Amino acid sequence: MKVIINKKEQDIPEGLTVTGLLEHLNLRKKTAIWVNGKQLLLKEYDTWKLSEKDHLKILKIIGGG
Amino acid sequence: MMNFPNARILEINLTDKTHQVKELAGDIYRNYPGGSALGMYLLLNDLKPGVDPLSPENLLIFSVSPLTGFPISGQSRMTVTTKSPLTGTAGDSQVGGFIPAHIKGNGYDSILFKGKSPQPVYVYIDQEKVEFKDAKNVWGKITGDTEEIIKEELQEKNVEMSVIGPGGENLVKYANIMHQKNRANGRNGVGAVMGSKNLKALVVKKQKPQKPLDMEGFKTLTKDIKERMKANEVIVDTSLNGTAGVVDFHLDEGFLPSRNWTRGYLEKGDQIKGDTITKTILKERDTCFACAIRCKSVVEIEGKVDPTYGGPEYETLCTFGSYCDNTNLEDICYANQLCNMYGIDTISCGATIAFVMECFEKGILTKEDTDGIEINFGDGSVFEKLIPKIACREGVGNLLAEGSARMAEKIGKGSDKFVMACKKQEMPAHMPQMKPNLSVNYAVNPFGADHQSSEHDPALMAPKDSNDWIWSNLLADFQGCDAYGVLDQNKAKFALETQKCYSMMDTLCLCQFAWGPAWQLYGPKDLVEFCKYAIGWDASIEELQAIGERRINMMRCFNEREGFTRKDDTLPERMFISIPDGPNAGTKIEKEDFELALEEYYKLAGWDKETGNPTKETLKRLGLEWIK
Repeated sequence: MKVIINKKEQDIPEGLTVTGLLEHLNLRKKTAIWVNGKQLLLKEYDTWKLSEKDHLKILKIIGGG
Repeated sequence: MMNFPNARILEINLTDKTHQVKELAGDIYRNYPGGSALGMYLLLNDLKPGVDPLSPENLLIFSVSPLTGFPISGQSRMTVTTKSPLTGTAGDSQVGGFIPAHIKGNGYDSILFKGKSPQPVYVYIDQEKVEFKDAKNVWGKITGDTEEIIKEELQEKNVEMSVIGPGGENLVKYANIMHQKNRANGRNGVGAVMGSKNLKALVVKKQKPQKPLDMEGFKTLTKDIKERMKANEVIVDTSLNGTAGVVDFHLDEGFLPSRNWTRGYLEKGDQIKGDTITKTILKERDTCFACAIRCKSVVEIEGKVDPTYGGPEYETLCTFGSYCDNTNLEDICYANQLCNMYGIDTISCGATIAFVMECFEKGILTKEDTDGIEINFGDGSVFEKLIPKIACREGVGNLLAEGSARMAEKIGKGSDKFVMACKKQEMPAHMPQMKPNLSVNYAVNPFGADHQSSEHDPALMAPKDSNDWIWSNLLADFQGCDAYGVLDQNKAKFALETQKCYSMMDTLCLCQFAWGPAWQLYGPKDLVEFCKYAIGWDASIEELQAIGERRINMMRCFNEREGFTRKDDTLPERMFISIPDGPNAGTKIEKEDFELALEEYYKLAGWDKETGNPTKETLKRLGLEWIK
């Protein structure tokens, strides 16, 4: 199915949860995610199922160095 | 209320080779409990305004804290405090490793050097025994040789030491103080102050670690360390790739300061990623006293790079890498080694060379000015020619040894536009366009641009049930943020409140990877527990924040005495340009937003908006009326 991730359309497998998407994109869980303008809680990542045409914003979280 | 321990201060007069131990009463020490705050307290009390930083009148102060030397991760840090020859401000530089734990083990919270030895010396401390040793055999030697020769002379291997290399001896404005050949009090030119005193090394005998007052309570913080680490993805990555892993993230997002900060993206940047280093040249990970994280990089390139000098951290990978548009890892690693051998700061050194590269590109400098050396972007082969020259102030090295800001004053021709520094200190490699709270912090920070003086903005983007969000909101109530490049009142508040927290950690001499208000191994509530179990200190988050705030205000007062005002709280104009290309092209901070955030910061800090200095009411609130 097609979703918009950080303003770019991408094809992802049907029925993915947010955790599944992160694994699909090879991203770690320490990531901030907005789905259709709503920021998800960490505890929602395993259960929140993505839908066709969802708009996602994904930002990686990192500190200093 | 507990009896806070007194501070034991070993005061060493290098002029007449005498020493004495002074005690600071616990009820006073509790307000300035170690490290950077204790150093500033001593500096404000004992140093007259207007002193030349490289004169015998300046003080050089090594301080640890009541929490140093306990068997837990991230507590073996030390601050060097002085008046900085690079910035002219309060000088402040941190180091980790093993010497902090052993300074505490010898019974001292602070070792204060005053005066100047007539001849080069090193000082050897074994508890109450303080010996002045002739340094003629090590003066002029690189740091590694110095450590070896001193151990042979003392016929003692159980020592730790802080040493300067030729950079410090030759008063390079950004000379550092090295420890174990691969850890540096890197910033603010503290090594030049040590060199100006003819002090080659501070050597301490290793001693037994401190024992917590409440061992059973203490174990509640340490017993689950493996699980605690495993549950924290940033710490897992830090253990795997070290600070170099930050290159991966910043490159992927297009916020890796490149080509003297004209870009945020580096072509072929994959070649200097942490992941690349781990897979190719990493020999092992080293650690500091009692720390489980093991983030220190040790790299080896046969025939070229000696692993005993460590390996490049994130900042060094940028200053000699992306700043210089250079992706040759071998050249970066060798530059890191040379800086550690000669005792000069990798951030200021690499950034100054990047400045020279831009001067070359613009035709302001030619090889006629640089001893025949072409210094072009992308050519890392110049590092091994320039670094020894800088350290020994030979030829063009004498010019680069002054740092980019002073170089621009001498060169003229508009080169000041290419200086990427605040208060004459070259900038660390975190772009305010991505992390806008750093724009405020870089500008107001009393000792110049510093990336370890506040939490970085992504904590405000974190999910509301993550530690990043929960811990940072223990300091104050913040609003969430959903994008890079946002600079508003919320960010000004975040800059100030997390600056207080980081300031407190530099006071308690805590590693900011192990302890902190967001992604670290231990959070603010854990720190309160650490204080209680280690020394019986009934601290609170509010008391700890006030300690951090007190230190910042002491530094601003020190700077005020030296003539600094709000007009010095500026950023290079290049901070306000859009990121021109890469994944986040177009991200920028508006100058107007920066000025408004700065106003908000002064208001929240209780500083006069005209002068930028603490008001009398603020000083009274913090118990600092004694300063002015």
